[in-house]
Amino acid sequence: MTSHTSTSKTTLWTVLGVLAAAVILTTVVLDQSTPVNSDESDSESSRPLATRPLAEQPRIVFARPFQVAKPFRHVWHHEEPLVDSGFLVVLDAGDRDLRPRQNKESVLQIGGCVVDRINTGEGSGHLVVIVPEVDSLFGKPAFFGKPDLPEQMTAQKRSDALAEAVQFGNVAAGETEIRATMVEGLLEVADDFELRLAAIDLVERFAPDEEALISGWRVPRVR
Amino acid sequence: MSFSSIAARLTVTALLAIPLQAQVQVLIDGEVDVVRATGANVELSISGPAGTSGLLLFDVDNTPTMLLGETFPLAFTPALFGLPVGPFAGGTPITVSFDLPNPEALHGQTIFFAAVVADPGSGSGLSVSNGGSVTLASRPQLAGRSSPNYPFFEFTTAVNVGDTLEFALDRRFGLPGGSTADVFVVESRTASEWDANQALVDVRGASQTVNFPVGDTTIQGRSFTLDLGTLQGPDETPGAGDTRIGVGYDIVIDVNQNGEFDDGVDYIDGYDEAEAGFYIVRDVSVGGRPGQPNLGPYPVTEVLYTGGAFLGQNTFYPSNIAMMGQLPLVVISHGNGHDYRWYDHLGLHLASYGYVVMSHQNNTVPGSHTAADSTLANLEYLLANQGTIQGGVLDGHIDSTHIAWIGHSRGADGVARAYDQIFTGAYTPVNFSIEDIKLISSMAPVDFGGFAGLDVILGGQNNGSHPHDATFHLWVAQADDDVDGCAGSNAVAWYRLHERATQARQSISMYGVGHGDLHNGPTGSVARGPALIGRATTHQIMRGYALPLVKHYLEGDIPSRDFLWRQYESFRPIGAPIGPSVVANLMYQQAPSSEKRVLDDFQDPAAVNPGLATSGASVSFTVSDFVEGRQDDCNNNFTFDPNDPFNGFTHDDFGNPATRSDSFGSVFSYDADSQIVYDLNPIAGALDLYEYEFLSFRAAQGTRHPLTTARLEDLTFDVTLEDGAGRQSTINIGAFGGGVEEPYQRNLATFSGPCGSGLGWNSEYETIRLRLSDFRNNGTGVDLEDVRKLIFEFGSSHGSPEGRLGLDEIEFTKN
Repeated sequence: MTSHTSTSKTTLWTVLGVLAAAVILTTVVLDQSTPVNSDESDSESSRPLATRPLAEQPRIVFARPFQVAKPFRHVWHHEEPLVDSGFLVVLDAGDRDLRPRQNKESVLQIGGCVVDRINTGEGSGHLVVIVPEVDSLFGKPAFFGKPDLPEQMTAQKRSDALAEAVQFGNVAAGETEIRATMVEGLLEVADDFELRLAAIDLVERFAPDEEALISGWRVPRVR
Repeated sequence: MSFSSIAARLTVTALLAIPLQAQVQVLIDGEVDVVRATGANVELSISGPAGTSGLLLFDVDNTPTMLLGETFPLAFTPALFGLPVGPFAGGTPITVSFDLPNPEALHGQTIFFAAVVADPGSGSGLSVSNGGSVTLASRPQLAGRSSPNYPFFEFTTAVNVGDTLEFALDRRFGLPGGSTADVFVVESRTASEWDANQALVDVRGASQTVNFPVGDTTIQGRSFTLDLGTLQGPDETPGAGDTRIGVGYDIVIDVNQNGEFDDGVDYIDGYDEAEAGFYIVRDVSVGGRPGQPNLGPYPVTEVLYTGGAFLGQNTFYPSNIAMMGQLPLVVISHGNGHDYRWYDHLGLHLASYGYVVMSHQNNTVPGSHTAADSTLANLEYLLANQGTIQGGVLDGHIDSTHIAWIGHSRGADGVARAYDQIFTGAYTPVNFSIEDIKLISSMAPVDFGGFAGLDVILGGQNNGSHPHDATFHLWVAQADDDVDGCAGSNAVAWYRLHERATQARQSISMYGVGHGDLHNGPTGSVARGPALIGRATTHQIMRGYALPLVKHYLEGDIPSRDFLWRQYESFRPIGAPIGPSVVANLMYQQAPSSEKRVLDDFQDPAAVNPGLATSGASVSFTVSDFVEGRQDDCNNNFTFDPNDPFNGFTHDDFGNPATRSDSFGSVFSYDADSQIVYDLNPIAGALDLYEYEFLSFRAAQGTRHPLTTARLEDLTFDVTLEDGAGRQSTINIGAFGGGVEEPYQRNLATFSGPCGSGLGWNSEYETIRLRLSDFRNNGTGVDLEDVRKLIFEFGSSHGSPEGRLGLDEIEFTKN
């Protein structure tokens, strides 16, 4: 049954992926024919972009709930809510190009929440993220949205991105599937630094090629 | 000399009562006899009995004269000139302030003065004051090097160690042909030190006797070699602790050959409280570097630690910091996907010259507002925790009043946005103040905050990408395949932050350099374009530019300034690379607070009028397609389009107030002899160019324009000054090498997509500075006090036969 569901989803995603790609290609072609004298004020959307919502969703391969004694700001939302609990999650982004860029990048959301990306995932395809408990991990799709800056993602923009992702065919992973990845219990830490160190442990486990990032977080702490 | 010129300058600045005095007295700058530079402002004070009036008399001879029973300390030559003064009302003396005449030929001439007042108590009915005098001294620049084209000599402040040094004294300074003089190169002294000690000791071991030729009145004939490269610069021995960029020297032409400096008789380059005549400068590209931390003046220690989340810091400091005082601080903020340990090429280099350099972990993935927060948090953390970091090794050794921020890509935007937060009051620093940020240097910045960060699309954090009044510097990597500079995206347009900066600003734009070349991480160059120069060569350029940049703005170092504005083709660090693929374009604009005089910066959008300059001067031109306006490539690409006059100029954004930078300029074309004429008559009365040292402007070749692509080379043209008598003098902008560089011949694609069709990337501005006094070389006679026209002349008679140019920031600057 699980296998059948998975196959169906894969088929569905493939079909939707082809459709989405066609939409993207159409957009690109249209963009390249933009009249010469239009200003670039709207060009963030008119310029051909390397990243668009893709049919292939990131897949949760690890999740662990956490709690921090000292709440920290989730600066990946424009509102910067305080966070004291959530999930450490590892996503498999497949063969998606995850090379960091300076310009706006596809925003990674789980449901209506922009997740806090710990590593680039370039090479391994594995992204370690912090999902604050501002939205449920369950019943919401993980997806890459339009290029933007997480710090500029207002509730409205996040909601719009989610709606668009669903429209593109992104679907939530099953709760059972997610819970199957939750092999470790609640992580209780003092602050977000300790939380990030725990996340770095996951980077070492799932994306060991990111040695520089790992060592950069593991320098001696001033006491 | 003409006393009418003095009369025209006389201004009674105070008329105050003085107590009754038995005698009439005149003083100049508080003394009886002084020597002052031509053009200097002096103050005469005259005291006399209350209720009396009189005359202040000037003459060129002080042979005493008996008249009406009184002895006057003046000869009463035909040049005698008088100015009524009084009545004295008691109290303080009457003071008269005036500027001395400018012409350099007045060197050595003395003006004598005395006052006579009505005095009913004396037998003659008059009282005569003491006599006083002011002797005029020209202060020529002397050091430099010969040039094959007019003005035939390039006067310079910085001279690379090992280079041949020459001096020249143009005939306008009054020393006649046939004169013989001894020339001394001496250790630099301040003006006060010269006043106290006039003994001349030549650092070369002996002075040099020079004969100024009879008959040859050209500056070429009056140029002489001073040194073949033996003059000592700073001690460049690794670990020697000598962090000076240059060693200052003064040059004295001992006209009377008495072995002493006689002010008003001899000529001196370097009579100044701050600036030497010239400096022999070290190889500024040499210092600590990765794998060789001990190459610079100080060995460097590098430490890694963290204070918590996004408080990881890689800090560099001189290893013997415990023996040192407080050191200026440089903070480095990395870009997205970068690492705080990737800037050791800067950290080791700068620390080896006596800086504390802290490169910090940067939260860049959410954006550059969070990066700005990281910069602020890390700086506060460092300053607040000096006592505990690394056992307190830095404690008390960080000068928190002299801070430079350097950022890269998102971090480069972040440092500007951090400043914006402080400037707008959104953030109040705890351990430093906004005045302590002496320099912001952004490497390939994105622009996510726009003008003020207000627009919803910019996140609405009220946090602009705006350096405001900070001294701002920009690094541009022309082959950047990330922050690519294409007109298609506001976020990666290169010059927006630079153009928003309201005070001093400058840039270096390096061809063939990729985004990743700016750091020292294990990732690639992130470069796309021809003639890529790679990371090692890029870092050579960076080291040799970053050190003078920081030295100049954090320590006020004078010889460093030459590295910031002289054309790279003409002057560069000894170890800097050179070759057809190595191109570095420099912009350098002084702050409005520097008392510069703007002739035309096109910055008043409400008065766009090609016929009227910002200053009020009128403008006429015979160049074609002249357009004045926002410097905004108004479509999404660099494809040539006659309807897009500012093609390739990404300095502004016309379409969106949120992303604007309010940068205005002009563009035009020519394919025959043509000109742009600034008629200064409307402002001539208030424009004395003797008060300024440089004519400065920036120019850029218009990318992909047929007139640019027709001739891909440095573009040159003439600049002419014309005075009220119609005398003209012309200097070609390529006189000392270089010109306006052709755009980097990068082609179509970027990571983000194409940028139109054709070859050529941004229209790249370079600042051209022409020394105003050079226009007077070889007897042109152009009166800088009465310049009526500034003429830019283009075409085959004046340089490049054709071209498409941007022209902006035409101004006169003090240094």
